[in-house]
Amino acid sequence: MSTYAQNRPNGQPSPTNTNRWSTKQLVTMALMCAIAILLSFIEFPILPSASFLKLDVALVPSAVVGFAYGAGPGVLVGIVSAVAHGAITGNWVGCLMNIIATLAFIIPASAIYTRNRTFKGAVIGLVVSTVCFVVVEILANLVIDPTLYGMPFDAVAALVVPAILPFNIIKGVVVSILTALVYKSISNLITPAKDQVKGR
Amino acid sequence: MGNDALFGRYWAADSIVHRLDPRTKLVGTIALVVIMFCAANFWALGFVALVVVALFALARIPFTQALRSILPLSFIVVLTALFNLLFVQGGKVYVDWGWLVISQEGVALALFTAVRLTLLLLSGSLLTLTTTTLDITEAFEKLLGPLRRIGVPAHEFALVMGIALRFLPQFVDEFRTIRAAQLSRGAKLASSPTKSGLSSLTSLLVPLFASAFRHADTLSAAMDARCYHGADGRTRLHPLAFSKRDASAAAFLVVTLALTLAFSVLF
Amino acid sequence: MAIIEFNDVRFTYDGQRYALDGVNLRIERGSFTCVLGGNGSGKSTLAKHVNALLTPDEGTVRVLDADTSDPESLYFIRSNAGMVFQNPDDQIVSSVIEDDVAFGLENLGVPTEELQGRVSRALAQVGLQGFEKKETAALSGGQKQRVAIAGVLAMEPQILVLDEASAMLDPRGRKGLARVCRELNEAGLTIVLITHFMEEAAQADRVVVLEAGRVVLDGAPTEVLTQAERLRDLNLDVPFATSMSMELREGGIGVPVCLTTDELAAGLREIAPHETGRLAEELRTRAFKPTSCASGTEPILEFKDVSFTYQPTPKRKKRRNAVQTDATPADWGNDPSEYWALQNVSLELRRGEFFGIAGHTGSGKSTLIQLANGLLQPTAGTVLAHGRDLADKRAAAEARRDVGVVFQYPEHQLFAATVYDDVAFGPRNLGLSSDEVEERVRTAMSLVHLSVDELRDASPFALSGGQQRRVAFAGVLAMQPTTLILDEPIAGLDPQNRHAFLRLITELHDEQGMTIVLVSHDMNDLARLCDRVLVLNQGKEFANGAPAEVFADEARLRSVGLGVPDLVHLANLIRINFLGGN
Ligand SMILES: Nc1ncnc2c1ncn2[C@@H]1O[C@H](COP(=O)(O)OP(=O)(O)OP(=O)(O)O)[C@@H](O)[C@H]1O
Ligand SMILES: Nc1ncnc2c1ncn2[C@@H]1O[C@H](COP(=O)(O)OP(=O)(O)OP(=O)(O)O)[C@@H](O)[C@H]1O
Ligand SMILES: [Mg+2]
Ligand SMILES: [Mg+2]
Repeated sequence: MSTYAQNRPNGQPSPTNTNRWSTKQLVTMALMCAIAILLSFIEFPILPSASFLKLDVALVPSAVVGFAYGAGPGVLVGIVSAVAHGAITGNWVGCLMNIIATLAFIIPASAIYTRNRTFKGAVIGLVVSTVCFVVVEILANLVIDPTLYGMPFDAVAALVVPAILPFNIIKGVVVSILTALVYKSISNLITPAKDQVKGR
Repeated sequence: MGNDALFGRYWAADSIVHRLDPRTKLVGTIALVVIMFCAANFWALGFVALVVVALFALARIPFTQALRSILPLSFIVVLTALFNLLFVQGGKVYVDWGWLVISQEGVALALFTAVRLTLLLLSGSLLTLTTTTLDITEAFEKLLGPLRRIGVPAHEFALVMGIALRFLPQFVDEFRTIRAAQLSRGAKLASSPTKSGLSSLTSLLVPLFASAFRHADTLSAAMDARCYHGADGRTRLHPLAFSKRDASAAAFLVVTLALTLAFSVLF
Repeated sequence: MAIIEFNDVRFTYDGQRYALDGVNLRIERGSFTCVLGGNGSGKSTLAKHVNALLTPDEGTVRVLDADTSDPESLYFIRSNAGMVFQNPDDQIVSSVIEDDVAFGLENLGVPTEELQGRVSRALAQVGLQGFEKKETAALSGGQKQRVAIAGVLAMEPQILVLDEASAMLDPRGRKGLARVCRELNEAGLTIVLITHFMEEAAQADRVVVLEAGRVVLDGAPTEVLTQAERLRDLNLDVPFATSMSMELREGGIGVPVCLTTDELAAGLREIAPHETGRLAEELRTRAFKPTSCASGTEPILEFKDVSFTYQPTPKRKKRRNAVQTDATPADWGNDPSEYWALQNVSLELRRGEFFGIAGHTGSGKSTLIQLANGLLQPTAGTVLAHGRDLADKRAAAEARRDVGVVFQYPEHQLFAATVYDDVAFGPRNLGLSSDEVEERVRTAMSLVHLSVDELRDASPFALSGGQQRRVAFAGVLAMQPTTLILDEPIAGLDPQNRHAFLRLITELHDEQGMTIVLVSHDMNDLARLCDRVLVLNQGKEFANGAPAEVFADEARLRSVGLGVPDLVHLANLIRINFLGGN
């Protein structure tokens, strides 16, 4: 019996919970990250014309978190899973690209949906997100591929219409649909009737 | 995957590089990347390449292992080189077959970017080969720590990442089971999601998400029950600590930068 | 002095039903209390109140004289009342054992110099010394549960609450856990144990039974656990030795009502020393299914020298697990660095058979199941279904249609928005018309005794645990398989629910003529239900044959972490006494 909390039935104040989110929400976010990391390793090639472009649906967990808890937590989940993917594979440039993609996709959808929690809100949010995502991805490819990878700008620019654009549209749409389907099925698991006692 | 993912490509060994503080390694890697982009010619780049090779030797990682670790990403290198070869024109023309024109500058640039990109990937790998993902997490937490005051959730970031990595092998198992269960109910999870329809994909994803929420219930209770209350007043079993080694590493990087710049200017 | 006091505690999650409905309870310092109750009776809710994870809506809970709803004493209570939960995976926060054990201490702000010592001590207390640097993911369930306990013990609490901590463990893990609890209690820790296993309850000083949030029975195990009818009404059961001794008394053998098999054997030896031989024979025959009738001879599934490994390329794994410990393999379950998950297993499943599989955690049971319906391909050897090699993709696809698999915790695979859609998932994948799908869903749901009309549009996630499992079960039956493989189908259910499920399975076998493969940790069920039993140990065949043969050698089975049916155990005990004569 030596620790300070144990000797403190009365007397000094207990420590306060300094976290921004409740433990439960934090843990949920963490487990969503785990799913996102898992999904980021399961990839489907989608366009025969550019087989190096792989569709991963790793954005779905962060989008679901964004819907459930708002943009901040959604972005955190996206960033953590991108960093973890980078730390596991060693591909830090890919990590940067994923972070940009996360920001572009998560923020609009969750911002719109959390203000208007209806089916319509979700659809509008996801459509706006998809558009943002596609635009930002194109810009990111145009900037990052030449600077970090050293690809000639012309080559990347030539790829925009035949490859980057359709690929990202498909990806955005698939991720949007999956997000909607998943969120619908599990939304009643997210908000519990009564929470545990959090530290003050 | 399983535990492999948890450890990333961590290569267990006892070397100077392994023993560096993960913060040093993280910042050092970024510095190395910056140095790479300062290299303006083949001389400077060659010097950086030497440094990278030397670091791998110091870390006691066999060079074949190093190359193997970037193999999955080699397509980027090849692609970049190809694009440079085809798109960059200038100087002597080596090949001219209608649309296919290869010239001196194209070859030079292709070579240069290929080497630089390989080095970039290698240095990223060096970090993951010598540092466990958990240490990387902790380094992030500590480096972002000062930003907590302006609202960056550094502790939350690290906690989320730590738990995510801890649960990754478990979700891999669960995912396998779910997949097996749905397959034995005839789910068509063949090749691409566009083909099989999204319903089969949701039959995999929804149980995974539901399971996450279930786990979150108890895990958060278990953490609360063990007095979890955030970063303040927390001690660590193995606190990170800088040592002389880290100072030498910093000095080494500064010298490398200086020499790279010198090579770039002089040649 | 009472260390835990519940005064008229009421608590509701949703404002409609009280999960705790006027609980009054005083638990003495240093006692060992067991809390029983059916699924949903409020046990977990009660446990969470002890730890101030929940606070009462009405009434008060005092722990160590501090009120749980007083925020000032929150961490005082939590650091003194440790809690261990059901699923070992859900309690481990960190990837490395020592970090996890230190988690609570770090939260308490224990100085770094002190940490290492306390972590090592806590690990030693649960018998895991030397495991500090191991990965948590590589542990067996029983070991993970011990790590969870160590994490709590490191905080040096005075109370330990275990909420069904043994539910997900194999028999060996369960025994190990029970031993740890007893030792801790002897060392002075107050223990509150929540369980669905009556035999564990028999070990306690006091048994409290909950129903619908109220304490309905409370007393010494000998008082509570002998009320057979009352307990059955409460969805519970009596321990084996108790029901056996009561039955013997009715049969005119005047043994006292006992709680443990050892006691019963001693009593029998005393009262009827000359009859033990005959009695032992009788018990032994009763343990097993009466000689199986016409199970056909046509083999529908054959394993020929099948080996399987999850690591087709032997890679760096070895090196990584180089951290050695002095743990014996018996403690380990299966060594995760072991190359083979299954090695040289041969078996033959005949039409209409009831086939049992037993084995410790990680012995390869789930692997075997997935090989059986072509989800995995053997690394060596062949698997034949109806004489066709499952290496052939078409054959494997057909086998999957024909062999239904109910995985462990099948409710964890539910996904659709409605019960109907979930059950219909399989038939729809077969490309059936909507009428046929409807038909199949109806049949399947009626087989598991659920009403389609009532549940059709309900979300599967809104059902109770038992119902969810039935729905998942129906989803497999809707594929109309002729063979059904069940991987621990009754894990986590309360005793009456367990019985109901086993009845369901026997019905499918007896009335629908299905071939059944049952994986179970419960030797009683295996002996009672199966025509043949396969015992796996570390991926190898350990025994294979009629239950009576397989369970003949108790000592040998114990050596691989299993046991024998209670009846056989009792028979052996009295027989040893009879033969030994002293
Ligand atoms: N988080 C929750 N939200 C709403 N209701 C809940 C919650 N947890 C439990 N309940 C309800 O409270 C009642 C008591 O649940 P509790 O978990 O305490 O039962 P239990 O005795 O532990 O059951 P089991 O044996 O299945 O673990 C149940 O009717 C349950 O449905
Ligand atoms: N997906 C996997 N990847 C790697 N190894 C695995 C995988 N699944 C199981 N194993 C290993 O194979 C062995 C057999 O596992 P299996 O799941 O078949 O055991 P089990 O008898 O079903 O155990 P339990 O009673 O815990 O369900 C174990 O050592 C396990 O660690
Ligand atoms: Mg419970
Ligand atoms: Mg299993």
